[in-house]
Amino acid sequence: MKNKEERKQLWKNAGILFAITLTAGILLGFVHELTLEPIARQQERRIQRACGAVFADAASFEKEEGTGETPVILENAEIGEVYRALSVNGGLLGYVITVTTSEGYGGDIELLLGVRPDGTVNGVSVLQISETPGLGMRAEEVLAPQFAGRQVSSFTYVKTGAVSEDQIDAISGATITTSAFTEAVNAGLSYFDERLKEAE
Amino acid sequence: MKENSALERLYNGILKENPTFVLMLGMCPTLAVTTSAVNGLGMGLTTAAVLALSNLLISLLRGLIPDKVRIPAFIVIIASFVTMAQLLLEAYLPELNEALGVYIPLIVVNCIILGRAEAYAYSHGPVSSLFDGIGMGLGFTLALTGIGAVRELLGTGECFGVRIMPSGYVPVGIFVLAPGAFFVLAALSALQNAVRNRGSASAGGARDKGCGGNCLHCPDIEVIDLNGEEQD
Repeated sequence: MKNKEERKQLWKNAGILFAITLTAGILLGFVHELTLEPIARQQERRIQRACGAVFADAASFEKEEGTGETPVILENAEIGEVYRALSVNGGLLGYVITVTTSEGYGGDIELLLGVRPDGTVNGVSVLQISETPGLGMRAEEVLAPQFAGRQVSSFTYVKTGAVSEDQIDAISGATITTSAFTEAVNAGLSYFDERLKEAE
Repeated sequence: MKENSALERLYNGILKENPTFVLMLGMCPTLAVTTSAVNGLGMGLTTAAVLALSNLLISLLRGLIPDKVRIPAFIVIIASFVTMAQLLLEAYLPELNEALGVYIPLIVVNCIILGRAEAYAYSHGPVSSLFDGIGMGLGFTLALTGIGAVRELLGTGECFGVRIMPSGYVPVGIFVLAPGAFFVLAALSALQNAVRNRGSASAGGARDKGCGGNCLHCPDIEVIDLNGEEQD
């Protein structure tokens, strides 16, 4: 008899818990539906803004077909989406390449590399970084501007002051970050050389 | 102050049993996100919103939720509110969402929220539970904003992104790193203990010390062992 009573209690408990989870699920569905569009819009705006940072004179960005679905691994870095930077009248100004590296000191570094059709770096901007504040975190202000306007096939970093076109000043105290960052840019440039350059 | 009145609950959460400085709960987000005052404020307010709503709902449902499955029921309710908060932040405040990162979903296992659900909302009426949540949430917000402001000020020379220190000030970088969080938390806890102890000494007794930071010594609430559930 007691057993039966216990079983009844068990079903009741399970039923109530089920009702709570069901209600929660339905409510979450509504909120998800409601925020789906604003979230997509924010994502789009984030990409446009980030692309705009490496190609200030471009009017719009168009995703290159077939990129970003299966990541391409090149020199320890991962190439994601590639965008074409277009001028007002639709002419090609260059490419924006998404590069992710996991060689950083504190997790993945994701950056955008803007390359002109002749292989000159137009600009580099950081999408995601979680390096040490005050050291590696300064990559965006210290490292990123150094690449702009240079046309080389690959960069190296030096600690004693850059002298030639293909050298980058390292952030002192953040060699791992500097190395990861430079490698990521190099990977983006190799991708450009292999896949995008001959399209011209 | 009348016990369990709205005002008493606010006072209790913000000062007497401040979750960060007195109860020492929710240390993980406290230490991790307070690299700037704005981050602390955002984290605090998000937690406060979730805490107030989950306290209210759990109190309303307390007659319906069976004792045996109360913890899973609490977690479902809390997790739903957190997910909603995250979706809304992502949609309307993406910068804050990015700054707080993984700590938004981790509000689910914040022991302040589960602790208040278990220790207060499950056994008290909806109005006082709501105010208990708001009080605790504001106490948490205040603590996080305070820690964030001090760390930002010493570590970058700014406060809420506005330059405060003279231009000759060299920022002490360690304060925005993890160890700085411990330093500042310890200093602020010591400071508020000093103020609290002086207040009660002049009043002539140690009785009004709150719970002295140890829930096990508190006669007012049912003692619960959260060690098993606390994952934060």
